[in-house]
Amino acid sequence: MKPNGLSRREFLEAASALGFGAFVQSATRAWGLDAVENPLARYPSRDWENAYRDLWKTDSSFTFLCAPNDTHNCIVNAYVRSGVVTRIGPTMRYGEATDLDGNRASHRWDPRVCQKGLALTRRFYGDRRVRHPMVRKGFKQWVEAGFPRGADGRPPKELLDRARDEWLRVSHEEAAGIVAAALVDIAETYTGEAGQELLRTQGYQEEVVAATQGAGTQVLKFRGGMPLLGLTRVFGMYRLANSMALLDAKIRGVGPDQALGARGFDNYSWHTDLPPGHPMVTGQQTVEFDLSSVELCRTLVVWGMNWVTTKMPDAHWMTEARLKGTRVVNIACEYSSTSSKADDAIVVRPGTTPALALGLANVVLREKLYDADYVRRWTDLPLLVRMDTLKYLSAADVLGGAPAPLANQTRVLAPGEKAPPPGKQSDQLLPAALRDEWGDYVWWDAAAGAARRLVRDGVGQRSEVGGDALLEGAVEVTLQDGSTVRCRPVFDLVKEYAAHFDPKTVEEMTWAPAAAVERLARDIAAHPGTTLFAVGMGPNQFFNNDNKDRDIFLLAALTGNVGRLAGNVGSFAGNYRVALFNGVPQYINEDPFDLELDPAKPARVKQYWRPESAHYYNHEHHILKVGNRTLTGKGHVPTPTKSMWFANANSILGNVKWHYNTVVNVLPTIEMICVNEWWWSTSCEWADVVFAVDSWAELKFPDISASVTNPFITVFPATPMPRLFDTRGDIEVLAQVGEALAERTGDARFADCWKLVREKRVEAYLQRILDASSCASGYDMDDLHAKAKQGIPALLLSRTYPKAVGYEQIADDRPWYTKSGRLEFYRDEDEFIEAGENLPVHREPIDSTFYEPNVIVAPPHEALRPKGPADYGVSPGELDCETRQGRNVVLTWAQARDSKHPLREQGFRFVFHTPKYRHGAHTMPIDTDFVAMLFGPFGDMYRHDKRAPFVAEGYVDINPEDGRALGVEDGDYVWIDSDPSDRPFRGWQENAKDYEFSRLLCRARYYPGTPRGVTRMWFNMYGATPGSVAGAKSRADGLAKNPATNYQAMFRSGSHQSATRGWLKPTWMTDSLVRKEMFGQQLGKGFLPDVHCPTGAPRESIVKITKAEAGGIGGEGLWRPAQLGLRPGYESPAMKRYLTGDLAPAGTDTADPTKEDA
Amino acid sequence: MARVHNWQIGRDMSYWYPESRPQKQFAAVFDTNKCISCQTCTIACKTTWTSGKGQEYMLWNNVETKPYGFYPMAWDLKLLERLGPQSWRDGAYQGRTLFEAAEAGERVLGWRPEEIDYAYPNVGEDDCAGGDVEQGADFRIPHDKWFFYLARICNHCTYPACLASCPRASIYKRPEDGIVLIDQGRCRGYQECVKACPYKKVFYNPMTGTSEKCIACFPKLEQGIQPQCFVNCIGKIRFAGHVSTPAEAREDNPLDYLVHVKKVALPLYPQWGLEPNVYYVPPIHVPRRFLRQMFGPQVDAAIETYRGAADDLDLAGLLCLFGSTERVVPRWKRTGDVVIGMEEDGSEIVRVPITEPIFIRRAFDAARGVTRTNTP
Amino acid sequence: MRRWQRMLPVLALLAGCQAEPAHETATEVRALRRDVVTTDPADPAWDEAPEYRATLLLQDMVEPRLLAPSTPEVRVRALTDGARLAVRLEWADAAPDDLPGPARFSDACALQLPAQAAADVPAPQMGEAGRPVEITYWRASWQATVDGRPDDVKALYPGAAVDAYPFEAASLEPGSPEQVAMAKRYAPARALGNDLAGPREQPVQDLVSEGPGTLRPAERARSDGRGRRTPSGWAVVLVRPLSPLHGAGDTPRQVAFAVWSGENGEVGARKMRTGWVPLRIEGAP
Repeated sequence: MKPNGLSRREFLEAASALGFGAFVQSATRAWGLDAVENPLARYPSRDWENAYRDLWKTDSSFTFLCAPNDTHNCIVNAYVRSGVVTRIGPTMRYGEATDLDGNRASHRWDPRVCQKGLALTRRFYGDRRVRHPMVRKGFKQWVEAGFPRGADGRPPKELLDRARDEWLRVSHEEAAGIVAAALVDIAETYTGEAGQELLRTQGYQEEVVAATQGAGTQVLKFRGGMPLLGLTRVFGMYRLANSMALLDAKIRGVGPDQALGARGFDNYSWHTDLPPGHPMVTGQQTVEFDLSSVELCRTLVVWGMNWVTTKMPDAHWMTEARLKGTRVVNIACEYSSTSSKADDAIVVRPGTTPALALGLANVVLREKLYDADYVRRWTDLPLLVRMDTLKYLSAADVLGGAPAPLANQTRVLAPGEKAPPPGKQSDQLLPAALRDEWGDYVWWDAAAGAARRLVRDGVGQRSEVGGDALLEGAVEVTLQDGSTVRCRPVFDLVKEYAAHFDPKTVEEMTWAPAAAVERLARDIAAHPGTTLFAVGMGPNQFFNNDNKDRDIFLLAALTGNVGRLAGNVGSFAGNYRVALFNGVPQYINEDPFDLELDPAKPARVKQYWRPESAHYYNHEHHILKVGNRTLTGKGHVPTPTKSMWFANANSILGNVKWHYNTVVNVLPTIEMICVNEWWWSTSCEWADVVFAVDSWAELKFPDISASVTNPFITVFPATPMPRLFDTRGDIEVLAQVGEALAERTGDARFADCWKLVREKRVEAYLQRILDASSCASGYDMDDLHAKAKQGIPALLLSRTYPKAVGYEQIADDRPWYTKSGRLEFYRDEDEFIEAGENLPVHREPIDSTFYEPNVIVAPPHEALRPKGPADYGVSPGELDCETRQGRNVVLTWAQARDSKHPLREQGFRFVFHTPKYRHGAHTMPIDTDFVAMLFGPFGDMYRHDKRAPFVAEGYVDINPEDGRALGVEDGDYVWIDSDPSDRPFRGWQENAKDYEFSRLLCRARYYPGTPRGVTRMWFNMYGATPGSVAGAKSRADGLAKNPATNYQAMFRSGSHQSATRGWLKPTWMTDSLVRKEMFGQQLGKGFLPDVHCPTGAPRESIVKITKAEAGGIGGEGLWRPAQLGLRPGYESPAMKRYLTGDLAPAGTDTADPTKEDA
Repeated sequence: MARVHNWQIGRDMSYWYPESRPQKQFAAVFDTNKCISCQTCTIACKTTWTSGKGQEYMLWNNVETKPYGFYPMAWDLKLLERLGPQSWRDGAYQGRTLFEAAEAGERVLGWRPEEIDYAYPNVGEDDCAGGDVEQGADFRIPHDKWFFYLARICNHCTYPACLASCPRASIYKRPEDGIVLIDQGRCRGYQECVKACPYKKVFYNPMTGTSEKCIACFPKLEQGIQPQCFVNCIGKIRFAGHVSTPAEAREDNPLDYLVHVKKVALPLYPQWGLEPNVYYVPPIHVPRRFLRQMFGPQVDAAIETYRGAADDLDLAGLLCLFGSTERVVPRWKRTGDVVIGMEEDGSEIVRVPITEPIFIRRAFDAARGVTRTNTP
Repeated sequence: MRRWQRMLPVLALLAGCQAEPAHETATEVRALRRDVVTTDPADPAWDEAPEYRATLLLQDMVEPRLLAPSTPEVRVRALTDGARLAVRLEWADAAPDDLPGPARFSDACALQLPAQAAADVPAPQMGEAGRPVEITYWRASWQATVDGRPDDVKALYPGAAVDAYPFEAASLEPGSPEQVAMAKRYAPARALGNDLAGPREQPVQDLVSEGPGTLRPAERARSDGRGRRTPSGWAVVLVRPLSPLHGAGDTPRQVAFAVWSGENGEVGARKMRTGWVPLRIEGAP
């Protein structure tokens, strides 16, 4: 502050230093002021423009790979100024991607990037970075006190105060030591009969306890989230799990022959991305095609997939295909972003996709529009089914003889014969036992009136099913033993069932107008093999998702649209096909007892770890039991989870479905939770140990990824960016723990597992994978890495460009991976018959329905004889969430239509679904400021309303009329409650402390695009935690930000996961479904992670909505945009005229009414 | 006031300064049918130019959902309302431009958004007009419930209102490329330009006390590279270049071809009289009355032309060239199924197929002894 | 403009033949000679100086114009130490406007002197070509920063939440040359040394103008000042040096004043202003 007074003398001294001369001078110079005459023509001094040229300048640039779980995998440029990554941009060099034969992609693939990737600078430098390893205080005390436990084996409650406890900074070495010690102690504690006894005392089901086989390592769970996103970095978690066999060997004193590794959680199925009906029809994981394929089709049906918001870098393939004449039909439960790009758009009831597909099939069947040739050559529809047993009629029973030898690209593995490594397999490989179990099938030659043997080889051009094959009607077939049995072709059974789904009925069930159903069905059938069905995550996140797949495939098969470049079915959710690198066992399953330390040599492989569906952890470790019946197959049974360590995913904890039940009721039973993260996520909030790892821009070791929706192998380049904080690479963290285990156990092999990491030769692990992979063998890791550093990916060496699953089946007459070698629409395994799903039926959603949940909608049908509640000793009226899952009740539509959801009378009247959106990806929530500000209607960097948890917040979209009926205005805050019996968590009624952060409070938006009865909340945003709620109370700015961790929530309380839960469906958990193994061409059956296991159905929820606070700033009055008359339902007179184009009618020459909306 | 010619409204009009066209005029075509509102353009711009203090709210490039989306709040609605009825006859605008409608004491008819009008920059996202969607709604073109995405940057107008309104002439148009800039050394932050720009693409920065706006990434254009919001456009809706006057239009200039030859791309609110230089391919699914209000009477013809692209390889091909190179493509040609972007001198910049090729690999790669499969 | 030249002798005459007692309304601004001039608006020294009540007129001569009258008058008292002229302006203003922002304007005031005393003065509206005026300009928002409001967005928007600024990256040493340069780079007006861009150490700015639209900062900042809220409005002291060019001894001098009311959207040419007012400086050099 200057002094008030300055004496004249002082001033003159100061002034004379410059002298008045200077002052005069300045004035005089000022007289030369520019008067700009016409700034359109001339501007005097433009040197100032350099300020912007300087802002544009960069010192250097480097590339890195942005690969959240969104299937796009963008190699991008990072631009550096003064050592800071100031901005990010596309490399524009995907158009230079080539393969070993010189095939080359075009620059139409460029640019590949998106707003979330560009905003990564906000993450690299944001205050939510994990800056160094952190350990929860209570957990550290537990470790340092020597793992004290109660009589039941549980750690002291007071040391388990997760998400509220203090955090302590530790070194990487210390963190690794702590984790190693805990792994050993937990494994020791739960080993042997004593260990299993403790688990029994803790209340686990007997099957679950037995599943550990007495090996303590079996209660240690590891998960590399979406491992295709990091073959060594992320998949390393499973390599670590495999090495736990060393620990078991030490603890139990057993040899490699008996040692068991840890357990590894699933990914694709855990994320409810797996379409479980795909393996039921095709025998392998999923059918999909590269998104660029849509240029090739005549009609594109986008079905429950918000393509333009979830496949952003590939959206242009759709808009450009449309521009060039492809008809785009969008089916969604709202007028979506993608609807606005469609020629035809239909708004359907959520969860009714199976019914709609059946309705379309109904038209095709009734009007005989189906592709009969395709049906005979490629499907099981001509095969006979016995009406007595409901099993396929066996050729042996009718024609006798042994199963025919197989020769069509198929080889039967003799008992004990070992299959070659997956990457070396060409023929389909059938274990002899399975081959004998199936035998051959029978079709009926109507002309000859004779049964014909159908051999698995006979598909496509090799098919002997002739034009006279019986498709409709029944036959009495005489068996070898002289008895006769009534049989019907699958076609006949399916047609009879589909007849129930006539257009009028389907309109009532699905809301899709009968006329639209007929129009679409006829158009698809009129041009067989030219329709691509792009099916999204929407319908897949319902309990009836396997029905959905089987019914859509039925429609597609009837119209010749499976396995063709221009006619196929694709399921697009998540990124998953790790088999694109089927040499990966070289790395994850390298035998820890027999390690290959020479980087030049291939590894010897033996799998000691066991896969497990995380849905049981999510389900409080219960398998599904209804009444007296166990409905989880033996091969699926989980073990208790006592330690959980995961990387590259917030989805297994922070964003877990039924999150609040998981953190309140499951976490207390888990003794250690470790997270590898570079950004403080909800999972970190609830963890015990957080390993600080490198961001994608700081990776010091290369890694590899690829995608199911594009043809590229994308390498994570090692980057020159210095680490900003005390972080390590994910794989270095694993190596560190390996060394700590070696130290603690004295077994050096724990450390040798990661020898090449210590030697900084991770490339060698990757080269081993490449060499052993069908679609990558021939590539040199160093070449791929060098290209990636220039921003250029390589082309996957799949059979075709673009990729299309099923191409080989059609083009090479190669059998599908099913028992019959054909697309199978009938499932004769006991579990399916018992569930009433031997036919491709429609079940009502299990929660998201206005009617009685989960009923099978069907007419009385000879082939539908499910076991009902009575068979399980359950009262037929019992509809609680657990029983509901195993409830096989058949109703006709007329009956179902008159039924009610059990909670309807209590005001639970809204379907609540949580789809993904443009502003967030699965592993990259809507969180950084710039991205969040643009998320929907409530973004505001300056947070004029202090109630806002962040610069944007979660909101629910509700039909305006529904809003008015509830007394909820546009922009108000509302409470959203789901089934009070278990959500947000069991026991909330007696637990106010946890309920405070669990109950969903969010903004409501009047959204005219959603029909009445259907509400939506976008996925995904960080939910409230004890810390975020405390922050909102204590911080001056009111941010819902944990003062202790900087965790930033997008909700004041609860989250989109407050209303969801996990669900278990019997048909997801069979021991008998035949399917291809994960890697290679061998067939097997039953549980297979990411192929045949539970998917959870997290989009199912029926909710009650009540107003909480007014939307105006600080809770005063209306939310401003509504108050200004600019919102749907609040339009001012001017806004009304604006909307109709009458505010500035464009003149007289358009007055002609015929020109109106021509 | 001077008299100048505005070809977009088919007549002469008054403007604060005499007509003076740059040697070249920076211009762009945006295909709204391809825009997916991913906001990558917005973030590309923001992380490059407006990451500083006082710029947090500022979006030189934004994408809004029409008709319920506005940034800032009600920007076009307010002005249309103030300007009143506007009519066209035979392609000539009969009403008053913003310069002709200026009130006493003003140079331009404008309005000043309130500070809070800049909040909620993506309000109206995906909100459809035409009433609430019913259960089982079934849409065909044109959709009776509808919205579309409108990506917006500074229009670098031939007759900028910001430039006209600046009392101290701190805003000028670059003679070499027509880019409109605010001299950050000379601006005194009066915010007259903020009030005058009808597209509301000038923003006041409270931390620098000056007004700032889109600079069309001139440091990039000076190197022949398209601006950030173009290169980062993954919807591939944008094409940057130079547009001529109708008289000087050249078929091999991509912008001239789309604007003057095919007339498939139209200016935004041409009736306002600024001769804006971002041209929009109108959305084909939107009711025409609304589109005529926004893009003028040429909309019907433009949509017919666009819907004919399936049978017009030149048009389809050029639209598929969008976003395939970061360089500015001053010339183009099509040979068969390939579209080629060229420098002025005819040298090739990029070539793309109108349909991506199909490669079928041998089932067994004998050279490497491995099976190539789609089901590994 | 001719009009002003004709009026001058008259004003000078009036000024010459009447000595006003301090308490009555003066017809000219008279700067009392003191040893020390103060920048404190509350300093008792001001009470001794005669008060001149200047009626404020609309600036409705050049676009953009102000068409609706706001502040009716400004009360002026002046002191001098012979080298500097100190003027205290007081005017009524219900609420302070000192937060910058879109559509937010700051209260402000200014005094204007002909750059060179002469028989006829330049046009009072920003001078004219070849005949510049010198202006001392005070702005309430600058006063707020000088009085300690942080040079930060949170000071303007307490609810603001920003993840990161490139120039505050963890890898940059705060205050290092690279860091400072980076910060300026992201504020082009600051990088270019635009006087408005701040951060301000002075609530006042020295300006020179040669007609509407030609306003520019003087080569050197020489003025000082301070503003304070009064119960009814603002009291602002402007202290600026006097040079021989401003006239010597008894040469007739003129001064003009302007006041901007932020809430009324007044900024730049949209202002309330006076015409030339006679100015007498006791014991001027």
